[in-house]
Amino acid sequence: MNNKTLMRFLQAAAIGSIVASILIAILTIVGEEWAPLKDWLKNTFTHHWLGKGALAIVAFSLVTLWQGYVCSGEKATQAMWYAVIAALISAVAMTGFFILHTFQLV
Amino acid sequence: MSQFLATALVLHVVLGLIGLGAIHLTFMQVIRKQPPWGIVVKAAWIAFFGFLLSWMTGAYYYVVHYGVVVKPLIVSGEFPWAHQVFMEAKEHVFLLIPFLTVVALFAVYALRENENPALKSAASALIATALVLGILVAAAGVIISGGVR
Repeated sequence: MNNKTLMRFLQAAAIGSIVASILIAILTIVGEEWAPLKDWLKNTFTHHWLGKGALAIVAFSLVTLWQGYVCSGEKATQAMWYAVIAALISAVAMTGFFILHTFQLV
Repeated sequence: MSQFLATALVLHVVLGLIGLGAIHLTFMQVIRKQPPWGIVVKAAWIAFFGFLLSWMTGAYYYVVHYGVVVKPLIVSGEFPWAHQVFMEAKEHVFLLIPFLTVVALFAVYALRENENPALKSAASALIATALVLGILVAAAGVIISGGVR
């Protein structure tokens, strides 16, 4: 893999990671608040958590492959910073949600 | 708990710790002035496979045993928050880590070819994020284990 292709796929994987982080947070928080979503995940994937993981893998793979062929790789650094921010916001949002949920504030 | 489930649980913990150790090694080597790329690349691969296999073994234990046997014990016990906060957060935050390790893999290969300082800063931050989330997930695992007792 030459340097340009490597940078393209680095940017693509970072964008894929951003999408996966956002998707996991949305499926987790919305799934707790809106029972039909969690039920659909359970019924389709046998367990809601397996469903979230499977959908995140699919989203990450598709976005990475698609972006790997269309992006230039010039914004790989920027994409990595956004991937860091997305992962941190996702982690804080999910943890914060479960704390509030435990105290029945949401 | 069957021998197979016990093995899955032990493997989940051990592989997760291997992943954590490897991502720590990756971080410590990447931030050096002249990183030893051979070690960095190997450590990044070990971190990726460690977290991936920890996910798979943990998933089996979690779906087959934890939700059916352990969760009701914790929720009806003295420390229900061990599940309601720590397990719920742990199982979902964990999902973020393998994707970060894939990006880290591409990043170390890119850095090996092109030691750009801005790229190195972003890659170090990304690897550090995977490391910190991994440490928090491991710490939550210890709290959850304590919550069963």
